[in-house]
Amino acid sequence: MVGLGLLGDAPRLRLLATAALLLAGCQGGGGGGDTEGGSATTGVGMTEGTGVDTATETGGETGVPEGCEGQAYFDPGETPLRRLTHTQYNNTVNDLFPGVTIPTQAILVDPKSGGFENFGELQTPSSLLIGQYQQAAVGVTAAAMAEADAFLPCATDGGADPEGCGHAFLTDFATRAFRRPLGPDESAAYLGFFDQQLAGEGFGVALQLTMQAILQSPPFIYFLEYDGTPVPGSEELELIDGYAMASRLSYFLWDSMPDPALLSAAESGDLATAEGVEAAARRLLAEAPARGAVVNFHRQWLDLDKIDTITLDPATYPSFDEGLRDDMREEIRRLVERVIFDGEGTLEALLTTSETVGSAGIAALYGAPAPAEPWGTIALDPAQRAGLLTTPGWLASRAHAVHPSPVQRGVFVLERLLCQPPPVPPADVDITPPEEGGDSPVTNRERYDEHASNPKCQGCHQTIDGIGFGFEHYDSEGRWRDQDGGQPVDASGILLGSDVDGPFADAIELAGRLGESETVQRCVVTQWYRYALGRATNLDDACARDALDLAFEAAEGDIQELLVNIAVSDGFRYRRAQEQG
Amino acid sequence: MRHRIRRPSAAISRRTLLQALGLGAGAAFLPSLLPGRARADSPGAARRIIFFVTSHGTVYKNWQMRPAAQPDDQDWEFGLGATPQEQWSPILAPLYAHRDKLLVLDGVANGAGSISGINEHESGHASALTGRVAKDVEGSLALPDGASVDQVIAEHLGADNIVRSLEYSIGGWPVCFDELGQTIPYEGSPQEAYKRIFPNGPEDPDLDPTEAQRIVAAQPSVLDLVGERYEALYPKLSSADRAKIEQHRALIRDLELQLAGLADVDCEVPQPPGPNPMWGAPTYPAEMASVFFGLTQVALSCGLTQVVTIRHDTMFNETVGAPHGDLHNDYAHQGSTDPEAGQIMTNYQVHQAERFRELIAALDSIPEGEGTMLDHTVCVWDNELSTGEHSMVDLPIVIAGGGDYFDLGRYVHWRKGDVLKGPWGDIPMGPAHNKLLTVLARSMGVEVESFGLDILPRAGGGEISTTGLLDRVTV
Repeated sequence: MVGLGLLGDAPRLRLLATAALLLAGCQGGGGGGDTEGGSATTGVGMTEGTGVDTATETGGETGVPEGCEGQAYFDPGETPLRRLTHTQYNNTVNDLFPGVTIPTQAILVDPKSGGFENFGELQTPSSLLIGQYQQAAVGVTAAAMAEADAFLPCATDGGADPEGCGHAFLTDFATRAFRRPLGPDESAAYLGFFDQQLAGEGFGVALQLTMQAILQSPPFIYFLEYDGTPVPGSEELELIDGYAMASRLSYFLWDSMPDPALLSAAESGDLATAEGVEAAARRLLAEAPARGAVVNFHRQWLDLDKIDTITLDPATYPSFDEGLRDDMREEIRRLVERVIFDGEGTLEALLTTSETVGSAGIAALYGAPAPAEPWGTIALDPAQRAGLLTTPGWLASRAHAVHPSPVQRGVFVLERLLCQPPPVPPADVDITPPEEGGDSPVTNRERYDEHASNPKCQGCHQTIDGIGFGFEHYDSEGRWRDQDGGQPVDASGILLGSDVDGPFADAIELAGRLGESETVQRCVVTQWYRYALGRATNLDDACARDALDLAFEAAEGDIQELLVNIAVSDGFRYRRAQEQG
Repeated sequence: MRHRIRRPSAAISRRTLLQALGLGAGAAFLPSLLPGRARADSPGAARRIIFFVTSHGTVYKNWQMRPAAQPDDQDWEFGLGATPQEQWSPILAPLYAHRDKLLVLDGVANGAGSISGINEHESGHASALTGRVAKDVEGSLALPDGASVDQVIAEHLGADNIVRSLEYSIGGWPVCFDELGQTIPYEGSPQEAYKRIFPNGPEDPDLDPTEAQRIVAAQPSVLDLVGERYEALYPKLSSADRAKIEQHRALIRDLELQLAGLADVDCEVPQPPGPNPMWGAPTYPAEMASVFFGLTQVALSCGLTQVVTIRHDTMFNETVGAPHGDLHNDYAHQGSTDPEAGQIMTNYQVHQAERFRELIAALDSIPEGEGTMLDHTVCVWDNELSTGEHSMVDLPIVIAGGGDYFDLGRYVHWRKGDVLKGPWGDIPMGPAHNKLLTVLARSMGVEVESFGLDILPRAGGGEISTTGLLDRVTV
């Protein structure tokens, strides 16, 4: 828990505080919250029908978005070189040695963008990271060799033919590590190195050293996509090659390396067609690793790591301890997995379900009986609870030590669900949170009166607090409360800037509204699209995202369908033709 | 590819290092980080620099000293040696024992940080050691558009060092950046930090190397092959991708040289650090600081590097006697106005002063040449902000050591002789901290005339120059 990288004790306030944004009444982040950095044109401007694929296919049966007609392909955008995230590195080294448990290696978490840890632009190498790769490679191979019987095709001393065994194993190992067949120069380099070390150091050391080199080489660390196929009729696009496509799919949907079946699909050319990609995506989603990968997206999108920083006043919240903190995190993971893989599968359900999976500690927070098993289904009171935004983990990680924070709760909904991040407060206003203690009992709502009376605050806080006050029925630990400061709780609020604007009575009504909001759907599509491509989106992506929105709507908000649609989208299957050199 | 690194020749005694490293709480969980033959004898001018960067500014009224009721609106200075201990401010008092080797700077301003118009914490971190204006980054921390002074110095010293520079963190956002303004990540794990500078651990030369040691010894060869694989890729890449891969390749070469150099180091390797103290324990921040100070001291005295940055932010309420609440939001923001918050943030800063004292005391306990290691090591206690209320004028800066270059034993004050045009209003300010960064770069032999921004906007029109050296600080 030592603060590596960006996690500090200080809060992170986002976005440029320009007068223009403030005057705009806090409706920041137009265009679905994108950076307005792209050119104003959309699409790559190809003539319809000249390509092997069409936009209509991309959009499935839902047709082409308005204003995007006549484009054979939607612009796949920039493709900054990406590499394994720390999660993917550790998953992959474990998958490389089936039957062996490799301890978690320390690999830097890359700088986050909007919560995501996989943006290529921010994945710059540093001396610390390169040193970590080197140390991790030594650690991984040492752990693997301790159980070499599990994976070596010969005795651990190389048996009768150490050179033959080494060559056979390393060729297979490198093929899996590089996620594609070895080129002749690569074979010569790695096997030549092995032979040299074999002579001096013996089989075991030579094998480890060669694997260490493979684990630090570019085709393992990076997602290299330079072998694309030219697209007939287009000089601007290339189809991602089958092996690179296998990696894209696998790291998107499994957070780990392709399995043999996926590499076979790459080899056979199946991944060159949308149908082949769709079939592969559906297969991957049906298998266990997809659950961890989808939960990992939600960890980043929903900032579940913030649960680690919950600090509650022990006198006010005596039940909160490290065990309950872990349970809060685990509940949300299980809730996400259950809704997306074992339940309705929709965004709306995620935001409105009145069933969760919890421990006894979590059940107590909900005021519900403990489940029969250590982790079991808990039926929630639908008048008090609705999905993700009423989970104790989310509520408690957006609260102060004694009193909940309507500001943090409101900002989260704006930023991550509506894609309308509010600007930071002007530097000349006191943003000290209201007094935690105090003798006179006041409601939490009254603590934020300044926001309504100070003209410098009104513009943004009407929107932020309007949402945040909706959660006043939940204290800093996420328990339901009817009274606050001796007064009945007023959890009414107002939603502004969406397609479902208007006053609401409480978080249940708000969650229901968000669950059916097109603004929220568009935002979630954008979040997934950014994550899948590992980059920020801009106006160049408008048609591609609109097409995904239509498809998401047609699939009635089914998240697995969204992931399949992203996998077969032009942005995922093509890239802009690159100049080499 | 192997480079024999030149290192100092004289050894210092185990007893001296025992004394040096036995200081502080960290010794309790780092019982044997005791090099038997570390070295510290480089002659001449200051040849090492340590940046100790803390958070939340200071509580100015409890930091500043006015022993003769000196006026704020004039430049002045006084000797620290002649100032009795009872006249020292609460926050600086822990440093009293080292008064003859201190230089306290009162009135320097981070102008570049003040004009960015973005969150001051982000701006302060990005500008503290760069002297540049932070640029907002969508969805991530703001970044400067150039390198921090530690990295410029490290680049200048370059080939003289086995490890270019070390960056350690006990929490907090980054303050070190490369020439493109990209973040230099920190090492936050003492165990990993140890492995990085002593990859083979303590060795007994009389024993045959184990398999693990043979593997470590062969790492430069592994990296040689890896580097070639990166180069083989160049022709296939677009120019943007190629730049990233070339950068990766260059770092592999550095690591290869570093590992080869470390293998040749003639320095008895200490035992690795034990497990970390418990997260959340009141003594955690001090214990973690101690172990990183220990690693810093060993790395410097073994001649592995000359540039170290230690970022320290993690703090728990119990550590500084605070009741419940968020230290940043509930106390730091009110440090100057609310008496209780002021006392808590003063405790916080006293705690950090005690850490800085531990660092300089350790260096001062190791004889080197005519004096001690501290005499040849510039230690800078710097901060992302000036106050918990996010001001960036009157930075609380203390320099210790480096007496061959800095005129120590003094408290120097600057009046606010200029008015900066800030994004939200006018800001009276003393000399820009760019001038201090220039002095620090020059103290390590980097011949620059300015650092970071050259000019700042003056209120009412015109420009404030930030070039040249900060006056009254060097010998």
